[in-house]
Amino acid sequence: MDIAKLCVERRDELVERWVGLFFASYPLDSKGFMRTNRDRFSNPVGETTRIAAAVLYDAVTGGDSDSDAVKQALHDLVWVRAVQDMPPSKAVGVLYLLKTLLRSGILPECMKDASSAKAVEAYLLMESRIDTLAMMALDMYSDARERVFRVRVEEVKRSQSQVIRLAKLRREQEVPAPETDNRGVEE
Amino acid sequence: MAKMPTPEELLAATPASFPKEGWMDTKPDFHPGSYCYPAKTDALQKLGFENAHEWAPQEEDWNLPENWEEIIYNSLKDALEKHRSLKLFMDCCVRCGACADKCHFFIGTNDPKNMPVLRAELLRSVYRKDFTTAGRLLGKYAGARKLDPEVIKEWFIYFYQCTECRRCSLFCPYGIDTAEITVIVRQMLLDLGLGINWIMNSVKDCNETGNHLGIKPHSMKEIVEFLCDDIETITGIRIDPPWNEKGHEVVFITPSGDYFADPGVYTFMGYLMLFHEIGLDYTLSTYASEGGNFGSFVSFDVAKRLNAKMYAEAKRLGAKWILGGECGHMWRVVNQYMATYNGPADFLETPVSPITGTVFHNAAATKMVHIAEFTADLIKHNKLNLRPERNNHIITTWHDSCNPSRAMGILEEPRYVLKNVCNNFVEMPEHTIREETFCCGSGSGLNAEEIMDQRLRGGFPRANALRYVHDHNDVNWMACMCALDRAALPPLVDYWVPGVTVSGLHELVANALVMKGEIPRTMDLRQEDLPFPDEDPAEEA
Repeated sequence: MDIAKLCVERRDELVERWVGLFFASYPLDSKGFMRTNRDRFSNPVGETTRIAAAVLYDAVTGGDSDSDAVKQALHDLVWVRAVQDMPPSKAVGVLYLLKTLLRSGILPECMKDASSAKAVEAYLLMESRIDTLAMMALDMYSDARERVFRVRVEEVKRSQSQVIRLAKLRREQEVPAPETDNRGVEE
Repeated sequence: MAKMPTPEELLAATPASFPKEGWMDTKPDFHPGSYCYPAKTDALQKLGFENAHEWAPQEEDWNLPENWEEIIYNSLKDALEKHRSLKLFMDCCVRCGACADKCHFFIGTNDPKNMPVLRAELLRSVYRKDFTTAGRLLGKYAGARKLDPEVIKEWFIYFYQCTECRRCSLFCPYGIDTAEITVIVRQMLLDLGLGINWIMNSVKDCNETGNHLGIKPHSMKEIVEFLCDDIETITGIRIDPPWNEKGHEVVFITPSGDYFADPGVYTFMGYLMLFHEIGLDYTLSTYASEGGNFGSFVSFDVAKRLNAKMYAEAKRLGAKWILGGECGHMWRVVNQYMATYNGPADFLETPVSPITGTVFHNAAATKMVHIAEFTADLIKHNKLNLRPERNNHIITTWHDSCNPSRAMGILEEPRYVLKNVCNNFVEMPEHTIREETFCCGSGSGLNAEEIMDQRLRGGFPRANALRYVHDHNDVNWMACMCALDRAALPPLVDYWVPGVTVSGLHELVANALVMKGEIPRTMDLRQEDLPFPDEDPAEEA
């Protein structure tokens, strides 16, 4: 059983089903739009998901893939989902659902004939790659959330930059207060 | 032992059956990050909102006034009588869905209630119940529903997820202006004492002090002196702009963010350098130091009040006309509402550029010229000595701000200016620019930091188009001419497309502007080293 060949044959169907599971995170009324509009500028969430799912499927099934491209695709997917008002498990965990798809679409074929041990071994390797992606995604999700908090803080600083500058100047001009009373603007 | 759920069960990602309840019965979800902080009672009271009260969005009870239903009914009745457009918008929508996928909030969040058609339906359903015979008799079957506190909560969530950018209106075959619907619903909410802090505090400060942070005149002057210090460091030229002085030809009014916030201050420095160089006879004003009309986000009445300040100040100072800075909503108000609010401004004159003699007939009614038009005219007449090579490290694109582009049609002038001061210009893809531009996701007073996730979702379509030219054309700069953009795009870009700098137009103009008597420039307005500095004549010798 040539598992690689099988994965290529079933690629379009399995990727489409996986994309459907990603879209299932969104309200039902919106899924039609996400599925049918294929313009990357007018449906950026849908297309980012679709592009990423194809790249990640290839990476999992062992096709030739450029590790930077895989990282980028995963990054794009995770950074979109990290600000989509869903719990982390839903944002990242949907990667694991590819296992379910592979178990129904690929695994039974692997176990069909006598030489199945090798095919099963190859299959398990694929599942491990999903685990690797999920771990990478966890790091990326955490980076994304940290970035959100950072941009919030920086925005507040930017929005009053000159007022802070004035406050600092005023403090410099003041007679130094005893340390305990010095509750002015931080440097 | 309990059975552990499968990943599918945990994620509930398997498409289930249709939702049990229709959209009318699907309740809004209030959790931190999904709503803006409420306006302070004293801010609303100072502005004359009678029903200002203490409340919290996450609480079950919003402490609505006892006769809240009557207030809403009267408020809607009043709005329908006052605005024939609203009645038309309520009646004529055929729910064709042309607007549905044009809203950046829908595209970015995929929440169906962010489809402009459904957002408007949140009000329309109540309108049908109380103001149409079919709705009265047939109720739900005619798309009508009874007003209850949950509807008010839904309005609060979704009408504060509309940036009044009017992209949907562009695609509506009837031209339904969702921005007006949003303003009217926000006004109705204010009648119940429900507003958001970011907007109403700024409105209060603009009303009381003149600028959105409530900085007092002497501090404001001091802050501008800092910026003049910076200009002196960069150019060797000292500028001392006049404040509140009578008898100048022009009063210059810009959004107050340009005085206080990064990167707006660099744009402000750009204005000062330009005015100094061309010898413009102008004054700044502390009384009218906010051009961006925060009132226009929530109420026509408040918008009128704030707009009047600019004209009252121009009259008091005896100016001939008003020059306006790079702003968004200011221009929608001036271009579309000013004449009805406070016109005619017949105490002012039709603006004429003192440098080129160009008469701005387009501003004959409002007597107010957009600085992009003004500067484009200067460049067209060859009045500026420009060295665009100073910006050679920049590959810039242009973000059309919603209001100047869709409400004013000012599309070519900023591009003309930009191409004259910057040698590398790249357009973002078609359908994401010009009239079809995507909003920053934070307009109409939604740039409150507590809803940053929502803003990042709403701004994703904009950022996504920017990302494309960043990846394919090495774009590292995005210029724009709206103060909210200058505030809201940096976080958006920092999240989605790091490596791109956001600036106003006149920051780049001033970088390229060769001023009489200046020292050779070695740094840009942000005091960062210029990769292509001016040659120093002393060193050459």
